[in-house]
Amino acid sequence: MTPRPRSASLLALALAAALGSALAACGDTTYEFDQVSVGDEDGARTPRERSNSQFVRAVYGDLVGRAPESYDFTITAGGAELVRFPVDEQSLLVGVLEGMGDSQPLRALMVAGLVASAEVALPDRADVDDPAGFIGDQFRRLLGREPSAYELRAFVDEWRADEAVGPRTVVRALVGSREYQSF
Amino acid sequence: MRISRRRFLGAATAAATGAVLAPRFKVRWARGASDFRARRVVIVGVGGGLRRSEALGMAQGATMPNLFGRVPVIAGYGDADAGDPVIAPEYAAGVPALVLPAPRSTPLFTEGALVANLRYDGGAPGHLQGQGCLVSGFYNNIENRADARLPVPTVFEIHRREANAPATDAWYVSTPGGFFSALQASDNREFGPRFGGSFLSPPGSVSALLPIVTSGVREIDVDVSGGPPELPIIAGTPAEAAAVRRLTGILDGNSPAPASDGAFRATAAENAAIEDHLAEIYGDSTYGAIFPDSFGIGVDAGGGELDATGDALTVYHAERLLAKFKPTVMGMTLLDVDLCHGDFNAYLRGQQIADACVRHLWDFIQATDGLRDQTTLLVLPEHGRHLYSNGQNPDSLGRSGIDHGEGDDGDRDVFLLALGPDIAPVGVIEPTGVKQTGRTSDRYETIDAVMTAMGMLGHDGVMKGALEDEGARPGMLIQEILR
Repeated sequence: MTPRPRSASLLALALAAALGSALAACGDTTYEFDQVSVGDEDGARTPRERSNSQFVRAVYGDLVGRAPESYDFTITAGGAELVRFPVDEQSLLVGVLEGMGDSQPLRALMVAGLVASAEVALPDRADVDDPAGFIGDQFRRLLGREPSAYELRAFVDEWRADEAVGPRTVVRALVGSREYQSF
Repeated sequence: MRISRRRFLGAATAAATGAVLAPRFKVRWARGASDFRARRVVIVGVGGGLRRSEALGMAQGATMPNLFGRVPVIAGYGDADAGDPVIAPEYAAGVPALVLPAPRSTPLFTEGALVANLRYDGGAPGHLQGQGCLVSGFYNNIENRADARLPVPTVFEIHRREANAPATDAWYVSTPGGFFSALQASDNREFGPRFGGSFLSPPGSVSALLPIVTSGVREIDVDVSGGPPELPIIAGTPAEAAAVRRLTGILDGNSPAPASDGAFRATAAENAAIEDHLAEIYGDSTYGAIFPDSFGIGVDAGGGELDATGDALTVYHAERLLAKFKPTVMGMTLLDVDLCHGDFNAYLRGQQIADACVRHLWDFIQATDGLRDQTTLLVLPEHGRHLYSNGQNPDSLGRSGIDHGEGDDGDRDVFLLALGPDIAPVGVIEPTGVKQTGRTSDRYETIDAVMTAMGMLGHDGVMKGALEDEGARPGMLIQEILR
């Protein structure tokens, strides 16, 4: 049998022991269990790409701070209602993304639209006194980790060198990364 | 520019329901391609099923005058002017009129070749199967599923592998989305998704609702004084996009690529080029870049304005892709005629739309440097329709819907219109006596049209080998239509 990763084996043994103890208390019957594997020892599995549906929900949660919603969209003319139709953000946006074989370009544009929306309160570049702090905050918020020293330095260098690099571009880059778009 | 309120409403409510190619890509022209002048091939599949009797026989009037004129071009339907399309009066009274340009004075077939007796001789007369044949030259019965895969390579894969071409050099543009994206790539071991074509379904992916929904606004007033209303756009500058990509590159350089799921994935550089293209569309606050009235084909929206149909929108954006990327291979699926299942009059109108769209596409190609004199256009139905009606939605003229799929001669007798620098202006031909082991039709077939397209790009040998490896009968070059 292939040796099991240490942590997985320990967990399996613990589960087996606990279960065995419980069963042993029930009678004389003994059982043999196949060893099971739970997870990887070092977590180094190959990531899988988020589906379009998963991506839309994740982005809404992380950037907008809420789940996609359904509501009535209203078009008026001079205040008079012309038409009202239902919008289901999740299904509409997934439908748009599914219109391409590789939805990456549309995902990028969707995020570009969201970071400019009133619902996503990102500061202007000029209002960020501490770019490194801002960048670190976004790594923690969107990727769930600290930036490496290399990443932080590279992002800060870009921020200082290019006026186009600011809060919106940082967020768009993080959400557009392989790391964010896979799990 | 004046904002079109109706266009906005139409776009929104309807939806509610190589410029920057990586420099490492250098397209190689395959051996044999130099025998042809064409450097690009566009294959238009009139999806949904189109019968010869209506298109070429003009049994319900001249529904495709730009392509075939007004006099039937096949025997059995007379030799007089077929007249205008016969739309039931009660139907015409209940639907918006079509907006169509005046037909050409001489139909397009006179400038090229019309193989009027083509045979779709194998595989189910169904949508994905028919279109699958048009992008692979392989009769098939694949399932209508997004994860279905042809066993033989598509024209996109063959071209990209043989010519070392980027994904932006091979496009599949389709009115229907969903499972049609399955035709981007096969699961053939020698080819597969890494050589797949880029896929765009404009009715799904080019929608005013993307900027509207992401903007977060839930109400728009389109009648404001002092100028056009503020419609949501997806704002951004090329400098910002470049910055985003640099930053993402920093991250991705240290992240493993996701596991392959068997689906097509473009490279970062290819996706960047496509994103830039779409950003121009979504950055237009008039929404005219989504579908402009100037396209001139669609449904009358009143007030001199125009609503797109699925096919009109598809052809408009196919033209944008042709202009931007000048791809070597483009497959295209139209579908307006498929309303025929439940609406015979809509079938006739769909033919008029397809006819005008193909003419627009050809005119666009002829008017565009880098496309003109370099592009072959092949137009053919994915399959036909039954010889009998289904009784659905009968009109006052005794006509009703027509399905497809059972494989009678109505389903399988189709045609091919070929135009381009290598196409001899032979007009209407109906070759017989076409011999090949395993061929029983005695005629040219759909698979021959695809093989001829690949022959022009010098890929016929590869396609033939790939088909034979799978035990399939390969198509033949249609010599009679070539100069």
